[in-house]
Amino acid sequence: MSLPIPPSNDPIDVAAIIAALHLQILQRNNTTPNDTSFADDELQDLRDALHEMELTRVISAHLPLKNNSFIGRFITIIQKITRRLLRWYINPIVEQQNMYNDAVMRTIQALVDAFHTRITTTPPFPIPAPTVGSESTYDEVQRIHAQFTQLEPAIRPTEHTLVSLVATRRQLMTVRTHWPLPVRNSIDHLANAIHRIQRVGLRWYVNPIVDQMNAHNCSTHAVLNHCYTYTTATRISLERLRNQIQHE
Amino acid sequence: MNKDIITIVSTWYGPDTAGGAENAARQLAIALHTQGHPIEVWSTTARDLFAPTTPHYPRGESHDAGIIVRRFSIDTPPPDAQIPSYALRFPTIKATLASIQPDAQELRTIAALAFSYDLLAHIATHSLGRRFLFVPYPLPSSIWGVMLAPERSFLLPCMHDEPYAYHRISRWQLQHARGILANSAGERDFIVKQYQIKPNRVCLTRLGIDCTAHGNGERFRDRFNIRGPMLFFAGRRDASKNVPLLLHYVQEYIIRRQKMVTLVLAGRDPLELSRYQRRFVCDVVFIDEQTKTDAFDAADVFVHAGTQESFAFVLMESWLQSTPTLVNQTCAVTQQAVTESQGGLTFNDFASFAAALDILLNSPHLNERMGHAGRGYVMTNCQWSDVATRAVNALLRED
Repeated sequence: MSLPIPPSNDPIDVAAIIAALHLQILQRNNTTPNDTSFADDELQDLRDALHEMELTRVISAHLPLKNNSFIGRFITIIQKITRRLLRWYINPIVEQQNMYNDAVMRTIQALVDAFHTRITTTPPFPIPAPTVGSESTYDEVQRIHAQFTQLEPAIRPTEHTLVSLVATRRQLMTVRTHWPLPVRNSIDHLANAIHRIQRVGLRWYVNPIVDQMNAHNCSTHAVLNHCYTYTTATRISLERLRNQIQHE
Repeated sequence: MNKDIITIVSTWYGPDTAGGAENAARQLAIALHTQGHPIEVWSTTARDLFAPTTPHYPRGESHDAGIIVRRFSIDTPPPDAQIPSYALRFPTIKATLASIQPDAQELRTIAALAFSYDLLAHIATHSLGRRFLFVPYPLPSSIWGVMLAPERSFLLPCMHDEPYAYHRISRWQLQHARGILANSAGERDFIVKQYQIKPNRVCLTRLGIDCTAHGNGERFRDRFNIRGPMLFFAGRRDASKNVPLLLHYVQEYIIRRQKMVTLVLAGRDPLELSRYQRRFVCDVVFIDEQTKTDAFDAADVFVHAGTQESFAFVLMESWLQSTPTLVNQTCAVTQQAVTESQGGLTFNDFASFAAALDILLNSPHLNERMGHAGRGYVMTNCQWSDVATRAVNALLRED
């Protein structure tokens, strides 16, 4: 592409440049997008699998207890009492894992969307670098800045989502078994004392389970980070940029 | 003018201490001492936010740049503490908290922060003949210090729009301190509006920088082998300074423009970079002051994506080396400074970021002119001697 960019000391007709660019962007956008119809079925399979993942990502700490025999009903009552006595401890652990699972789900969804968008849309139109005359006032510079801002295609929301989800996952990936016990009234002091004893008594059982969950969460987080960087690298490769970068 | 001793109280203080507010406290102390005002510093044995409860400096009285520094033992908050029980041992604090009725979450947050009981006890018993300047506002030494001696307390809050600023305790603190020293017009406006304080109680003292610093950009580029356009950021490399966003924008800019720029990041905290980001990021970690000045001189543009600033030292340091800046438009303080100085441009999304970089990297005359405009702004507003004069007028005036 060649546009008439004047030398730095001459006044420039920004309006003319902008108009020319608008026209070229319009022409470019009217061209046929990349044909990816051959992958439609595979994409649908992927979306179906994601839907299945969405249905199974939430772990419940309170699945229905079923037992119809006489002794079974008695056992069920004992189980329900046990579950109720432990829910202060188990439920927050399950909720933490569910929050992380949700972040993972959203990341995978965003990765699929980002990848699909990248291969089906036209790459951003190269914007010529604005050259500002040395005599331009600060207001003129700001005006040129605003005009060139309008020409630049925005980053797609899924890309932003992928970046923000890195921090979200990092924050959520460690499930904790020891969180501050809330104090809302004087009864809580007594309840907390009992809970602390329960927590110490059960940590031989619960902590190893949570440690395994955390190890898996940590590796999932790393894999998703690598997936993101891999798709970014793929994008660079596709656009044949790598060899043009000067100081690589 | 009043003859009270100006006593700066900062949890972390010293030559090895990192952090904007702590650095401001030290430079202000030196400037006040240079002008001959009686001054002391009360601090703890810990170094800074990056090692908040680890003893680093010796306990007791010492001298730093000719100033008396009294250090008290640092205390580690107990794990899972719900309330700062140590503070309730002071009847004044207990009574004040009963009247404020803070949220449980507020108390839990404060209870988790490093404190020094000995320092608080010293404030409670040795306030006569002193004017305290607490730096910054959300730390236990400042919160409880103002409660222990409100009529002798001044705050250098280093505040911005953040969750702490909405705490009931912060409201009480700002409303009951004798006076407040603001670092910037943006910070002053925020405080006056947020706490409905009379504007004359908030004095715009600004902050200063060492205006004699002179950088050698060539030396920096040679040392770190940097060629081509260079962007620079110095500060915490985390989400609080929007560094992930900055990395994303620079990466996107490189991909779209098919042109390499090097982003130099300086800071003490570890940086997690992807393989691709390592190709355009030069992580120089924690560098000494002269090397940092060299980096400001070497940079084509200083980029600051953070939105939570009360002054932004780094902006002034960049301008001092005649390097233009690109700042986040949503930060009132930096946006105001850039517009006032005409020393750079602002961005609020990737498009404006890319357009601004295009302008600043492709128009050398303009780049130079904006850098000089920024330098002029710094030389006019950021001389420590002027800041010290404004601070003394605020601290020692008789109401």
